Amino acid sequence: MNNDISEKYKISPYLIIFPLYVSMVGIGVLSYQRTVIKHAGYNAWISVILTGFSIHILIWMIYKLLSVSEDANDIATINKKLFGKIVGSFFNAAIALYFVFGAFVKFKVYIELIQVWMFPSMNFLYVSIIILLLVYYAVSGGLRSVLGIAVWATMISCVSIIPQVSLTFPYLHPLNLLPLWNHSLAEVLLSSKDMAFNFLGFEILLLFYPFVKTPEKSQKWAHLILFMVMLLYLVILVLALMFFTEEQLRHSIWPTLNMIGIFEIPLLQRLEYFAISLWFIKIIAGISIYAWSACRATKIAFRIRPRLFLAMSLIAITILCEVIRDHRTVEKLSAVYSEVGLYFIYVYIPLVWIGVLVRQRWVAHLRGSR
Amino acid sequence: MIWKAGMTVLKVKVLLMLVLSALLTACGDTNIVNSIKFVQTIGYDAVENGVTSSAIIANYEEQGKSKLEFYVTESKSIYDSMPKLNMKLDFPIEYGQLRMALFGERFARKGIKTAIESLIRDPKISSRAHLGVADTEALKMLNIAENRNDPYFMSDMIEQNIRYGNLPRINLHLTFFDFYGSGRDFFLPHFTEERGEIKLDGIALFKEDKFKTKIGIRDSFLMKLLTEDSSNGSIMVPVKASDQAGDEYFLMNSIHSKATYKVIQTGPPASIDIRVKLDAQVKDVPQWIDLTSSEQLALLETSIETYCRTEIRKFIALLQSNDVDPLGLGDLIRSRSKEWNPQEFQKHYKELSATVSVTARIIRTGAGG
Repeated sequence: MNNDISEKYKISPYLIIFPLYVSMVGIGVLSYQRTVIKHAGYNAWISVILTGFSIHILIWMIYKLLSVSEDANDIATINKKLFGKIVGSFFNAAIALYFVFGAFVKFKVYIELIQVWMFPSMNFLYVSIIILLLVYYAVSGGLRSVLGIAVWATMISCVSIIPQVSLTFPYLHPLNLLPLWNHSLAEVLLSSKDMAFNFLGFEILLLFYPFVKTPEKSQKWAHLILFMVMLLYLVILVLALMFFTEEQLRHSIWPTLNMIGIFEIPLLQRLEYFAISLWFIKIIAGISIYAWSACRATKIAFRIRPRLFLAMSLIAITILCEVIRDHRTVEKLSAVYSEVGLYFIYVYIPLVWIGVLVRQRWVAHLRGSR
Repeated sequence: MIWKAGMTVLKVKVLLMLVLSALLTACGDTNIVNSIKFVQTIGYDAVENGVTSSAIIANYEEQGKSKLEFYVTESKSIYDSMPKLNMKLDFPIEYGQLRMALFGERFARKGIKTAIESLIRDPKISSRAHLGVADTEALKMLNIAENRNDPYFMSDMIEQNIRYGNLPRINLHLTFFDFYGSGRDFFLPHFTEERGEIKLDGIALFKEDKFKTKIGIRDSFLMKLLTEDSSNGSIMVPVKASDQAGDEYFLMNSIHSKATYKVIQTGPPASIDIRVKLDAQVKDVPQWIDLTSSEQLALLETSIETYCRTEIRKFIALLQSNDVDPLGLGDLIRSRSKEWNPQEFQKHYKELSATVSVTARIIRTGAGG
C-alpha cells in the first residue's frame, strides 16, 4: 500500500493552527460554563488550566508517536502495525465511526440551538440536506479546501467572540471569584474531567500529521494554538463567573449567548442572534474536518473510496438528525460521545504511545542482535 | 493551461457555493411586522384564584405610526396567560419586543418567582427588559401608560432615571443575578399614580421573591451611592448656619462617586467598614451662602458628609429591620470567608455593624457666583 502523499496536497506547518482551533472550539464554547462549574463552582477556572495542561502532554505524545517511525505516520497505519490486521482494523473502524459521530453531535447541537433561539417551527430536513451538501462539497475538495473553510471560520470566530464577550465589562462582579480556593482538589479534578470534553478535536492531528510539510515543525504551532484555546476558554469562563452568580449559571443553558445578549448596539437590538448566525461557518468547518478525518481513516485502513464513505456518512447524519428529535436523546448522545472521547484521548493515545515506543525498542534490539 | 482549467473549476465551485448559501436564506419562518402582535409592556395582577394579565400592544399601521391596543385576560396562572391572550387577537402574539413587566402590589407580595423565571426562560425576551412594581393594580397603571400613547413609556422612564436620576442600575439580568446570588436580595423600581400620571416614587425591596417594603427616592440615591457610581443622582442636603435657627436645604448633584467596602470581621455577627468618596456639584444654595468663599464651601462639604453618613446608617438599619439585603452585604462576607453559611449570616444580619465614612468634595458650583 502506498501512502505517499504528493507534495501539492501538503500544507505548511503553521496552517495546522486553523483546523485545530476549529475542531477544538465548537458549539461547546457557548454552553460549557454550566457543566464545568457543576463540581468546582467559582473555582472552575483552575480546572480549565489543569485540563489544558493535560492536553499539552497528549499533543506532545501524539507528535512523539507519529514521528517515531518513517513508514507509519498516521494512526490507521500505526494501528495495523501495532495490533495486527484484525484488531487494528477494529480500532480503525472505531476511529472512523468516532469522527462521524463527532460530526453528527456537532451538527445536531447546533441545529437545536437554532431551533430554540431562532426558528422554533422550522422544518430542518431541507436545511440539513443543504448544509450537508455544502460539507460534501468542501470535503470532496480535499484537505486544502477543508483547511480553507477552517481559516475563515477561525477568523470570523476570533473577530466576533472576544469583542462580543468583552461587552459585558460594565456588568462584571469581580467579588464572585473570591474566596480563591474553597473547593477540594477532588471537586476541581471532577470539573477538569467535565472540561476535557471541550478540548476534544485535537485528535484530528493523528490523521492530519502526514499532510504537513516537515511535520515536526508544526508541533510548536499545535502547542501554541492549544494554549490560545485554553486561554479563550479561561477568559470566557472567568467573565461568565463574574457576570452570573453560581446559581444563575446553573439555570442558564447557553451562558455565552446570554452574556452577548446584555448589550445593545445601534441597528442590532439583540446581538446573540447575530452570534448564532456567525457560528454557522464554524459548524460547517468543524463538521468538514471531522468528516475528512473519518474518510481518511477508512481510506487508509479499508481502501474505501473517500467520496463514497463521505456520502454515506453524511446521509447517515441527515437520517439520524431526522429520527432523533427530543433534546434528552441529544444530551444522552453527546454524553456518550464525550465519554468515548475521554477514553480515546486519555487511555487510547497513551496506550498507543507506549506501544510505539516499545515496538521501536524491540525493532532496534532485533536489528542489533542480527 | 492547467491553471486556466483550474480557474473554471474554481468558478463553478464558487457559483455552487453561492447558490447553496442562497438556498439557505429562504428557509426561515417569516414574521412580517403587521401580521404579528408585539407585546411591549405586560402587567400581572393577583386576583381570586388566578392572575389577570394585561398587555399593551402597538399596532403598526403605517410607517412611523402606531396605535396602542390594550388587552386584559384572566387565567389560572401566568403560564397560560399567553394562550388566553391569543384568544383575543387577530394575529399571533410575539414576545420579542417585551421591554417591561409590571407587577401589581398584591401579586408582588405573593411572590414573583414563577413570573420572572418564565421571562428568563424565553430566549426571545431580552435580559435588558425591565421589571417594576405598582402600588395599586398593574392593570390600572398600564391604563395610564396607554394614554400616553407610547408602549415603552415605563421602560424608557426607568432607563432615563438610571442614567440621569437616582435609580440604581437594574434590569432583568441584574434582578436574576441578585435573586440567585447567595447573600443578596433584589429590588425593583416602584411606581405610583399622581394626578393621573405615572410617577417613579422609589424602590421596592424584595425578600427572596416577595415584595417586602418600599423606600423613597432619597434612599434610592443612597443605594446608588453604595452600589455603583452615583453620577447624576441628586438629593437635598440640610445646612445650618451658626446664626440661624432652622435648617435650610441645598441641592447636591453627584458627579462621581465610589464606595469601598472592607470586611473587618466575617462574624457572625459580621462587621464592615464602608467608605464613600463623592464628587459633587452644588448650584442651588440658600441666599446667605457665597459659593466663591472656600470656608463656606467647606461648610457645605461637611454638611454633605455628615448628612450622607447619618442617612446611610439609618438606611442600613432600615434594611436590617426589614431583613432585606439589596446591597449584597452577605455576598461581601461570603467572598471573604472560607466557610459560608447563608442561614447563619441571615440569623445575625440584624447584629451586623457597619462603620460609615463619607468624603465629599464640591468640584463644580455652576456658572454664577
